Amino acid sequence: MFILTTRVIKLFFRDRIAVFFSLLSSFIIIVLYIIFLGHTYTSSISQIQDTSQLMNQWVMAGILASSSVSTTISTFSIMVDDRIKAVEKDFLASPIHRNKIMLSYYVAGLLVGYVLSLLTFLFAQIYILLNGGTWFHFSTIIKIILALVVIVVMNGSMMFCITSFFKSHHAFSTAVTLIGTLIGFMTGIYIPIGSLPASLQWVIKLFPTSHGAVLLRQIMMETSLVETFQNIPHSFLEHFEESFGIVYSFGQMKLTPLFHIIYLFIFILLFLGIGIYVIKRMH
Amino acid sequence: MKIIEVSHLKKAYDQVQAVNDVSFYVNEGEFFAFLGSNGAGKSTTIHILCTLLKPDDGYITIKNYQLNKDDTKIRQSIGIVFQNHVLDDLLTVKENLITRASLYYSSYQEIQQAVQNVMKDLNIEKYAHRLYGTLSGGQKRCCDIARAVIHQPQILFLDEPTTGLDPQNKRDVWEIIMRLQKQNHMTIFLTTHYMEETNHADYVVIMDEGKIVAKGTPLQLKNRYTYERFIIYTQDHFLKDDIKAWPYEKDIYEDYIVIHLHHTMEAYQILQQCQNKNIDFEVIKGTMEDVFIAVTGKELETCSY
Repeated sequence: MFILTTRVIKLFFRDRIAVFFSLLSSFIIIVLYIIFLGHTYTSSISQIQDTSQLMNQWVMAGILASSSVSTTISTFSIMVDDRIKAVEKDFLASPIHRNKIMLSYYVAGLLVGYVLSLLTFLFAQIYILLNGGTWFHFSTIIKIILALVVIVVMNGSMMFCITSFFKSHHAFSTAVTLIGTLIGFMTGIYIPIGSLPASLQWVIKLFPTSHGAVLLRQIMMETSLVETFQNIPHSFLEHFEESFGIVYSFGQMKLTPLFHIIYLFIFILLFLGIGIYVIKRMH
Repeated sequence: MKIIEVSHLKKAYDQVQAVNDVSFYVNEGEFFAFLGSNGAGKSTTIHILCTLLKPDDGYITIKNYQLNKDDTKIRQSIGIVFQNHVLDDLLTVKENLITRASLYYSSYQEIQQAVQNVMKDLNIEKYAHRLYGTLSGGQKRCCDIARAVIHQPQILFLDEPTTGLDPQNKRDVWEIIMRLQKQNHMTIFLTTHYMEETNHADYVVIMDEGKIVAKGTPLQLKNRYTYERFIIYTQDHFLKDDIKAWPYEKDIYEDYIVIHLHHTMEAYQILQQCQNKNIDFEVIKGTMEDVFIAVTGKELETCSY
């Protein structure tokens, strides 16, 4: 299975255009943030001074949470290609267990997603430093690296599940484009969740990737939030956290980091179960 | 000894009966050809035999393993050259073969050994480090065959293996296949719609609309379904007038005359009648194309092989 996984990883990285497009949604968010979103966000909290590091961390957390959506689905596109080009038949007519074939795509997708997420994190740190920010604490870096494991596995499982339904290039490309467009909204990066109508807020709060974004925002912005809001009334901080999707609450109940992690794990199992079921039926 | 045995195989897609009560067997070491036009049911049959499709009904054994029961053992015993290229364009030939060998062998040493052996055997070492996508059609086909025999299967399925190849490449591909068959005493199961490719087969089965319409050796089929032709090339109008009176079925054209023979020895009698005449002649046996047209009433594609 190791060799089959390596095959998928090699095929992904040798297709440079595919690699570029898998990172494109993250680039678009960064460009939009630099051009106007950053200004819009900081002006919405103009009463507070020195918010640039805070907002840089906020947007980078969102990008980190969502980047593995596009990188994993791009890797899983190899599974669709194999199905269309009958490469899958070549594998299925060999004595290897069918679960191993399926697992090789899944593991390859997760590895690609994780490596590119780590690179995105490195880029995020450099971007923050170049804009006058500071290094993350070592303990924060460890927390981010660990949180990324859960987030990548969840996003990867979700994309694996979605990919399992497709048998044609055209339909799959359309789905990838749609996902790439929606993901920025569904994780509350383009528009902070507090600026959306209540019904949409509910949809976003149910969307598992947004829980990954909340988790990362809490980890990455922990120190900056304390420093920026130290002389400001606590109610203002609470409002900011709610509006910018740093904390999710349902009624009076604020969700804890542990809740977000459990929520992500539940969706990992759900998506993986559906994906495996669909592929097994297809075989 | 029978290596493949198919009894009363049936498979339908919705309302279309793709394979309808088909029975045949293949002997060990035989070159078996499965002939039919597109949609005849060849691919469905081969997909079922390769464990890629479940039949609706029927009993199949391959190497005495029962299909749908001992599929893993069957898969270990078969190799397939698919009609389309199924290796990865962005991997080198060696990387492709290593990947495919890993489907059969668990240790890295065994994988490396199998790859080395097959590359040497098929003489593809020279482009081992080239990307598969950059190879010519013929080179790709050689690699496809290498992939199919990497685990030394006893049965090699060839699903229209020469489609899209030029005559030289077709000849090269067939040379390799025939050599491998002799060398490894491999059973070849060919599906094709190029009739001339079945000339060297030990046994031919012709399918049409999901049913077997004829089977036998190429010679048996030609003798049963075709006639031999004696062709006389001449400009001699007096001779043409003489021939018109001969008691044979014939077609007369501007430069030549085709006489239908009932048996080869009739050619000798005709030759005697043409003594001292200025003629060119040839005796042509019926082709597999004639067989196919005779049994199905349809025309197939021919090839230059």
